[in-house]
Amino acid sequence: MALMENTGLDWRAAFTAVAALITLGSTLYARQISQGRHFIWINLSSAALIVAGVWGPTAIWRVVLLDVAALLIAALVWRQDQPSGRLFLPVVVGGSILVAAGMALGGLFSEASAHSVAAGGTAAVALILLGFALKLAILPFSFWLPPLAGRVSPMTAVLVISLLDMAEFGELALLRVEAPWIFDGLQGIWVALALLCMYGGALLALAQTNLRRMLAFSTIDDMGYLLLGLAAGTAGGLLGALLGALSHALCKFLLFGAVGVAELDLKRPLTLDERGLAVRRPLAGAAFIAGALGMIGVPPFLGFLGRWRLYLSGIELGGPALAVAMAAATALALFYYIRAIHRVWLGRPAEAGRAAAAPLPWVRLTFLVGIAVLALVCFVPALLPGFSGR
Amino acid sequence: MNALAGLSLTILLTGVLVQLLLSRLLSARAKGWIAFFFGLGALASVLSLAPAVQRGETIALDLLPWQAESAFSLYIDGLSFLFALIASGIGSAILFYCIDYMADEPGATRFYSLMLVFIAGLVGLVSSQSLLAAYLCWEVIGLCSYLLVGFWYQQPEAARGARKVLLMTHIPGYALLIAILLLYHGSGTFSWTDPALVTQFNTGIFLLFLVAAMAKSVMFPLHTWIPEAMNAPTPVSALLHSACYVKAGVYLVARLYSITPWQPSWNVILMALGCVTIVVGGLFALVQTDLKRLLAFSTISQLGYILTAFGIGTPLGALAGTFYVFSHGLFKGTLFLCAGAVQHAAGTRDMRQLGGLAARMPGTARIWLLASTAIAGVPLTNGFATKWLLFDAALESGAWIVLLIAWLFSSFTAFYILKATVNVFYGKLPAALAEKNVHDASPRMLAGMGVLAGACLLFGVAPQLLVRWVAAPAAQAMGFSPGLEMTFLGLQSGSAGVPVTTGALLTGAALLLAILVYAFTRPSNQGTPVYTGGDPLPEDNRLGPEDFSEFAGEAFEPALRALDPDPFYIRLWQAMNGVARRLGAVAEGFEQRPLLPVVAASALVFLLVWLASGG
Repeated sequence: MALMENTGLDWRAAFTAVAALITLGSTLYARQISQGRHFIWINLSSAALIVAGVWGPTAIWRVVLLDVAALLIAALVWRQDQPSGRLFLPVVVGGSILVAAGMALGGLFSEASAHSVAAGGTAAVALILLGFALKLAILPFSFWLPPLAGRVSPMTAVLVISLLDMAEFGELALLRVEAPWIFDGLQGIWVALALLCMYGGALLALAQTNLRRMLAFSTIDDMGYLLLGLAAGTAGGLLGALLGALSHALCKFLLFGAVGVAELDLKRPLTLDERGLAVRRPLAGAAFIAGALGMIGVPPFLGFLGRWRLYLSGIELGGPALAVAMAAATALALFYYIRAIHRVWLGRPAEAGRAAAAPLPWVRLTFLVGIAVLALVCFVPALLPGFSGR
Repeated sequence: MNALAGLSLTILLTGVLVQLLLSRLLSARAKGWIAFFFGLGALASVLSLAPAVQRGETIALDLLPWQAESAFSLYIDGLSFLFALIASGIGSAILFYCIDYMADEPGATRFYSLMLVFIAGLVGLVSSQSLLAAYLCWEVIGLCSYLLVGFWYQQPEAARGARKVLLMTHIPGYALLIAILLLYHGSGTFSWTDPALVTQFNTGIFLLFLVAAMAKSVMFPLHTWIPEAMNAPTPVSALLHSACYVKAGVYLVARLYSITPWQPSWNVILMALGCVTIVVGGLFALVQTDLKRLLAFSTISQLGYILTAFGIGTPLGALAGTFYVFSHGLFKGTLFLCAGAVQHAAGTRDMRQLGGLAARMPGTARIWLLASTAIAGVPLTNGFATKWLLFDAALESGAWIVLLIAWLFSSFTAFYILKATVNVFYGKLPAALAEKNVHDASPRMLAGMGVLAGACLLFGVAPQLLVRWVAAPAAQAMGFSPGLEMTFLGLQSGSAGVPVTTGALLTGAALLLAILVYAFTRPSNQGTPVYTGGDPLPEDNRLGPEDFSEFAGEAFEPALRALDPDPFYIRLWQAMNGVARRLGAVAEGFEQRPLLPVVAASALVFLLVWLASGG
């Protein structure tokens, strides 16, 4: 409710809608392109836990439910790729302990003292910051995400990034409103982390040849913008960050989904060495393009609704210089996305005369719906003023 | 009347919906007809606003009246009308041409939907009262151009062109977004008609607007994307160059006059950029052997003229600019459509492989001739009237350097367009083409081109029509009152135009004299035998485009090298990649052994938090 009062956006309802769409989409996707044993039931149950966590009535409920979901997903990751699991499980456990300890120290599990700094304020802030830095893969705590995204099945990566990470981010946004002392006075640190994520994530994404790893670094890159919105702490900044998180969730579904389709055809990891894949799978190519452009906030995709507010927050925080720095980081993001689009998807296929692509009607449907939602939701706030905030 | 303001947008977007809904039921040709009729409907609805605009009225419409501050408020004045007319009018002619041109193309639904959104994007941009909505439209047309330039995405050249379009126009677009947000941050409003916004304007914000406009309107050094976009279907090139893309930047610059009074330094900056762009476009056009690339560089040069006219900052300059925008749309649209017809028929647009097509394509040749005389500024065409206005404005304001550059490069324009005309349509038909069934464009394609070319002639003979109904109201919307009285052939009787009229009469007299001298001293057709130092040259020996290009390339080589910014962009990209690679290697090391970096970073975070909390 606090987020709703502050931003005008019903985060819980909006996240639930997006999560339902992604869960339905990923389940249909998994029916046609196998995502590994146990994926479907773990996907459904962890999504249910995450949504329940987002709706949790108290902080302790939210933390517990999200952590249980994270453990369930860690089990799925472990099954699919043990090295990734060995990185992810400590992150889940460690991040949860740090956040829970910080919240307990800061008195956030008891409503009364939430708005003032508790006795162990400094330690609480540091623990919460570190915990979320681990969970959200903020640089330099992001070591676990690229290997995971590169090795597990595409929809498992979506489950981690689009649902779990974005729900955790929503929790951090809620803390921004309910416990502003976590951010107040420490804006410099948050802004520095945000800029580190933007530039570090973008440059590291540019250094990748494997597309899934590139997408993982792009999540780190985008997290920088979202953190900046929280650091600003204004209604616009918060709303921009929340809308950005929703857009991120949808875009990553399309991006990983498209990569999964390409890998199904190629029977090998998708790298920048491939050519002209859209000739064989035009809708997957379209999904990748829409997801990529949505990620960098190109109008009219949903990301734009968040991105312009984040730029405004940048101006409020650091004047035109910070806004220009954000634009330069976005230009880097455009470079790596456009390189992927044009080297991998467009142009003449490298391997002519391959067998006809297997029809994937459900996957096509999920891509179509995803693209339509991403492109049309931008106009919703104008039509339904109460839905997407001011 | 106010309700009509949103009609053109509604019609165009309905057209998109119809295309999508009937996608599986209709042939490509039927989709073309549908798109054309929706384009025509949009044109009619724009034209219905003409009487009000002519009276100097503004038309406002809130599309979402139930919202306290709607982002979708339309505000149409003379300037909006001018650009909406260009988009819907020239757009409709191009859509008519497409019916046959795209008849055998797969992907017609995608094509026509994007074309309609493209046109709607420009109409939306010029009609938006909210700067944020204008930015949205700005980027929507950017996205449409990306997808349309890459329409044949299987072709690497088309895909490469699309990539450059997006990178080089989207990134500078952030300058516009930042400028808008800075204005909003200071004033609390996105509405450009709100006086609170004016007080926030300063040179920094002007420069941010200008950077965005430069990229869209192909001004030096952000112009290099447009020659690479030539592998798009020709109607897309025509729309891009004449109506819906490069004109967006021009609109933005012109609109700044409505929003805020200009400082003299802004005029100087714009004129300087405009003049450099005239030179760069003209020089590079000279060395091209690809017909569409030549036209692309010509667009760069012509956009330089237009923005220079706006840069002059006088009522006559504003009138010259608004007149030039419309005129350029007409003749450049025609030239591109003709180039498309040539490519369609001959299978190439390489001028080294073309020639003598006037015999096989007489209709296209005539239309091309008309448009090429217009771009060269020959009397009886709109190109003459528009250049005349520009020279007059430069003379009147004492901008002698502008006048000199504009005049000098007008001759360059004539030179490169003549080179294209001669090498494509005259001379001997190459053997490869003689064997092919090269035929003229279809009647519908000819009609599409012909309408635009006819308008070049109409507004050359009676430019006062364009001045009265379109250009003058647009200049008024920019805050200027050009007291110009123009009559047939562009003759001016107002005080401002008297010296130019006199000059023109002198020029006409000199031309007449030259023709008479030539007629009386015409050399014999037999010629004089000349010893060439060996075997006689073959009879069909003539200067080809490569000769002109080589000559110009050698003559201007240092300038061409110095004025090409692409090597700088490439070095920037390589440096960025180098940094990324080095950082990537470090990050991979962290992934192998994450414990130590994580512990170190955690300690640093603790320390920073402790320090920030006051120890």
